[in-house]
Amino acid sequence: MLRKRLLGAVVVRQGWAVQSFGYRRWLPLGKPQCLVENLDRWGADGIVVLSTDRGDHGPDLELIERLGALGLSTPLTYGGGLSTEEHARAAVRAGAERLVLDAVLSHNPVAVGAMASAVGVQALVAALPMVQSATGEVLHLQHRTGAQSELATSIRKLIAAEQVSEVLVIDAAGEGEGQGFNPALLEAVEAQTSLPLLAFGGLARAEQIRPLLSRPQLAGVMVGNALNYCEHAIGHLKAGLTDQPLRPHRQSSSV
Amino acid sequence: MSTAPVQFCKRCLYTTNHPLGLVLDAEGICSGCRVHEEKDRLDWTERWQQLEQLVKPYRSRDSRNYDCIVPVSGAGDSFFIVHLVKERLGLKPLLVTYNRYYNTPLGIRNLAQLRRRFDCDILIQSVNPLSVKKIIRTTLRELGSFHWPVLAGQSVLPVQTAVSHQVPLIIWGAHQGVEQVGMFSHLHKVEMTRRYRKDHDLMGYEADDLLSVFDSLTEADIWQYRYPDEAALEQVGVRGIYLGNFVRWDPWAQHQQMVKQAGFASARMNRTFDIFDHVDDWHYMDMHDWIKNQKHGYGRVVDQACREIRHGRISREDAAAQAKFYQALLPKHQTLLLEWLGLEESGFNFLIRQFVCHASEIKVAPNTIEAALPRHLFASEPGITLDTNTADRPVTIGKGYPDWFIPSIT
Repeated sequence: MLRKRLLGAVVVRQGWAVQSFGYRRWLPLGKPQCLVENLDRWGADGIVVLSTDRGDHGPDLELIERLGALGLSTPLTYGGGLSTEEHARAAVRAGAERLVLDAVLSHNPVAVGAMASAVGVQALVAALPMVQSATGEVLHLQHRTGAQSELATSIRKLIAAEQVSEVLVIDAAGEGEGQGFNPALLEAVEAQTSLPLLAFGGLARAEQIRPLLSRPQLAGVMVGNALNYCEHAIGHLKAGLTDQPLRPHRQSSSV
Repeated sequence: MSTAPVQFCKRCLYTTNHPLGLVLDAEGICSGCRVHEEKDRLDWTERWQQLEQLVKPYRSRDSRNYDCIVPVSGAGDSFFIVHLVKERLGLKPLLVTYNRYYNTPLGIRNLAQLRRRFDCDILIQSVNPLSVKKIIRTTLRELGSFHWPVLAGQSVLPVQTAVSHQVPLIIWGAHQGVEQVGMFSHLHKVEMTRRYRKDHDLMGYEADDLLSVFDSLTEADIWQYRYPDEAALEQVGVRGIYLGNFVRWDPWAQHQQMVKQAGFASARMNRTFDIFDHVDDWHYMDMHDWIKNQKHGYGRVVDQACREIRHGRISREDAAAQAKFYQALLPKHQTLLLEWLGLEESGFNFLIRQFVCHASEIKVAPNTIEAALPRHLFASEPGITLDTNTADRPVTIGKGYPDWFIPSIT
């Protein structure tokens, strides 16, 4: 079995890489290509670029092409504005190896099947931002409207039919805060699918990641803001998780 | 980078066009102003204790070795940083300084005073000026910047020294991204990264990115600006921390303290009300600042005015008047720079015109604004200006100018 992955997330808003806090507050970081190049040099197991303000404007193909031109040795995943089969084709043509689907899962689940046919199920990841209510109920958060509800039947069917290859579970409330990932969110999604899961949101330190990696269905964790606070952050996290079934730290490339 | 319309912060003078990136919140207040608010909320005594714990493992047991590397210059925050490192943390620093070649006599004097006053060893790097000039020709053409070698040199020399001397801890002053645009909260305790250096300090161009088959610049010219190998950094465990995460950073107050306490000397400069920043450099607040204004639509005085607004020492309206006045002033030392570079004025201006941002056009004549300028910021105005006739030429770092060389300091 392949070992689990430590992925680096780059959140993009208005063309800038930003720190995101619960998708409500942002701090500027810099040029997305500089962050992506850095994660590649650090030996991340994958890089996920999330353009959070694309809405109905389609994927940011110019950005994907700019990142593709860096000649990365790390797989590049892109999310943002993907809602049609043509979007999926164009994003892969521009340089993305995998695609993260979010709003389209709710608004047009039929399109997901067409996208899977166009670029392959293996290239698709379903993003599910989740929150836990005060009563303990785990709900799906619609970013665009802010609505919280049970996971829609259409999404359940879609992941049950394995029209995507992995599910990215996002701790929407804890995203960016570095206070750890709520495991109840994973439990709720595990009950819906046997697809491999990825966890994102609130993860900053090795001790927060360790308990998640022991879950058999978890294929990887994704870290965002915290990777920007010190040099060699990927290496530091992996050094603290050598007892876990995580892919070994790739020696960083030199100059 | 962004195609979104430019927005203005309601509290300071920055816009969303800031080259470091700037985010406005729902109330129209920028990320820089919001992060600045932390300065009045955080427990700085507790944070200082955190710093003391952080540096503890780096104290050398060998008295022949250094505890840390501290980058310094003949201006800016250097005096206050060394004061904190040497006198409050009790560390033994190795000071490092990159010779930028635009040294003012006052800067040389300050550097010598810094070394003597705090009794520190100092390592000075002077890169072959022929290579520096070749690089500048390339960066003027590609980036509209003659300051790239300074930015690259002063940001890489401490890291190279940390590796070569096996002294892993580098201590910087404040993080520019935190202070100006609130890139990080103080709580994030952000540390030095190669990514930030390339992204922001070097405008996206590391040394090797300057090499091109269409240029005469070669590896022999740029190698001194290369970041150390990743494996070497990991092996030594190089780590650069910022004092601004642990001390309530207030440059104006700190500079005044260092004038009184440590003999730091300041001067009036051409394009700013600030009498402390960059007094060691003929061009930073002159040609460099004028070019920044042309490229980004604002000068360094806006950075300083925003800082003073946030510290509550000036109103937004007064700050805007100051900025408008100083940004309209023309540089005084263009000939000095062009003679050193061996460039014709027409050629230089042609290169800069390729980078002009139209937002920089100022339509009000300077003398119509001057009368309305608030003067209280000049209360501690020193008696000298940088174009004092003592030596209006770049000078090379050596033994340092004695105080009698600059009459107003004695």
